[in-house]
Amino acid sequence: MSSVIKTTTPFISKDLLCEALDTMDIHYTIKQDNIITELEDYYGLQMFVYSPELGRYQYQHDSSANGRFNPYPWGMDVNKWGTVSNFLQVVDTEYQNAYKRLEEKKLKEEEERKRKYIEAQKLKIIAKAESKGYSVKETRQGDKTRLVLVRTHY
Amino acid sequence: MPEERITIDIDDEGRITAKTSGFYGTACMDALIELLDKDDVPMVIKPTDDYYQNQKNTVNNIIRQKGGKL
Repeated sequence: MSSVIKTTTPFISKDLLCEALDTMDIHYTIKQDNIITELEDYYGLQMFVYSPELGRYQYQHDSSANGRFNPYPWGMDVNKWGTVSNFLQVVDTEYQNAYKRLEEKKLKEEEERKRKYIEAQKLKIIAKAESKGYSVKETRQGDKTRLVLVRTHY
Repeated sequence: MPEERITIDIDDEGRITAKTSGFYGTACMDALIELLDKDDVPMVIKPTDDYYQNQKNTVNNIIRQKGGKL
């Protein structure tokens, strides 16, 4: 008999994990490094517990809530998630989506910073050039801004 | 009438390439340095052969920035 086991993405970032839970409309409270969900099992509320040794969050739950009893009789919202594994698969997907959104946001911010820097740099050069008697012509050449400065001595 | 010309290209990464013509000797470098803030940004300066000529003829030089400083 064979089996395939696939683990979730390591949940390293609290912010991303919380964003994933927000997207899934899971309510939670944060106590120190733990993210306590509204999902309940035989032992109480299930939670993401941060493990400094592993450097990531682990989901703490009753192991019997992972398919041993179906439906699970002690509180977990079986209709929506079925098992802990199913729940974690959705968290995994939303965590990765949150990560992608963060990357896109960072990239956009970086592009915007770069664009502002280049614009300021260009304006500085134009101002200096004009103060030194150059005439300035600006054009766009592919991915470049071209400034042609010309000064004629009479 | 002698004409001094500087062509400056700023790419989307903030790198600058500057070419000069119509300057005498090292005057082109002075003009570029004045415009590009040598103290602020690291630059690679590649004088062309003409740069070393003392005659009053056209020289071409290129200043290329290593990268945008953000």
